[in-house]
Amino acid sequence: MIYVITEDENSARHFWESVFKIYNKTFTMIPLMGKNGGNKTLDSQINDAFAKYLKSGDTLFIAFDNIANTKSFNASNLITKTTSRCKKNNIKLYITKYYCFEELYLSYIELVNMCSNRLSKNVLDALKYVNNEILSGRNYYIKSNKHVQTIINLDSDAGKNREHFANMLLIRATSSLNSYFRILKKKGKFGECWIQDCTTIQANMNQHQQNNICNNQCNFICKNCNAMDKLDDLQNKSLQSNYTTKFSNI
Amino acid sequence: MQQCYNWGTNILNFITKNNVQYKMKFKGNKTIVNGESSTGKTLLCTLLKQMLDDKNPDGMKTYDVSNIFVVNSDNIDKLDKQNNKLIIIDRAEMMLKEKEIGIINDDTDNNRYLLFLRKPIGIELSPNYFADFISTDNTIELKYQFDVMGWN
Repeated sequence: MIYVITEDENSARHFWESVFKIYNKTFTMIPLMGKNGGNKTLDSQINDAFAKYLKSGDTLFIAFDNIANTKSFNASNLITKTTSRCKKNNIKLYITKYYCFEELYLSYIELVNMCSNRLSKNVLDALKYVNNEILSGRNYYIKSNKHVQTIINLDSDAGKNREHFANMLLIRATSSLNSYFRILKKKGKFGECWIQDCTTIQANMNQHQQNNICNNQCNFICKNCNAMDKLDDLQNKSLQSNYTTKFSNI
Repeated sequence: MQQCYNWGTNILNFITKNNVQYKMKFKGNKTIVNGESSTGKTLLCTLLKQMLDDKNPDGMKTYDVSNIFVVNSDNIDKLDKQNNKLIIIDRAEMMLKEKEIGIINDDTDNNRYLLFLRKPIGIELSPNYFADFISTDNTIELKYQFDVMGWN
């Protein structure tokens, strides 16, 4: 059994829940501590998981929204402590290997390809820069960088920190496609075209929408694919490609 | 005169009069050391502060420390005036208030930081940049706790 812990109800929880469903995993989402717990509740959720759920041989999956140390939260200590606890209890531990959830999609080369004719040159250049830096394992969030400045000038919130920057850039990029691809960091606002079978989405469209949105507008390489193909493509062409553990064998 | 901190290689390297070598290769612009007491953190700050004050400890080789800034209560108001410096802050949880934490978080490429910090105070940094001091054969080095590509 895989036990899944996320920080809150935002898009990362919906994404990971979908991943485990799509790959037919036996899993349980550990209940959140409050509606929008944030990283400070991870420790309580982990304690809860050990007290009520985890048994020898299980897997504990922890999805961070943002791996950074913040006020009153030390990710480094939490990971060290949890790693040792899992080892002692024969629990397999998997921790997301992105800085923040948005970088999973910002590092996806197909997002850049899809946006190439839909974003202004400056924003597209910023997206290409961020994509390349993430795939190369480098920190792109350097405020004096001209591409970073472009996004901060458009959305001042992007200047707050790297996660906010990534969020603003991802919203801009995915919103340039259509609402079926838009990724917002809110519950229920995850573009379903990334994580659902095209046939399922089309079943809820009328003929005009299918023609207009799917046949004419869509330039996703996984057009007319099922959800698993889409997720396989994501992990093969994003930062996930750097890791040997695939969604299917978590 | 040999530089104590080489900006190009991102290495802090000097030898004390007792022949203890501090040899620290940093892997980013900011490093947090939150390890045990008595591992040489405060001594490092004291030695560098003496060098900065031109009071070279007896018997120690003379180093160029012009690109190092050791923060204390007398000079913390000059934190935002620094350029291209390795800024070292001991007991950062006591030294830094919200204003200084904001300055450090905003500084993504101007200066570099080595923070000795025992509890989280809002410095936004991935676990990849958390390290411990390790001492082997009279050499004190940094050992980073994690090295996950996506956390860089």
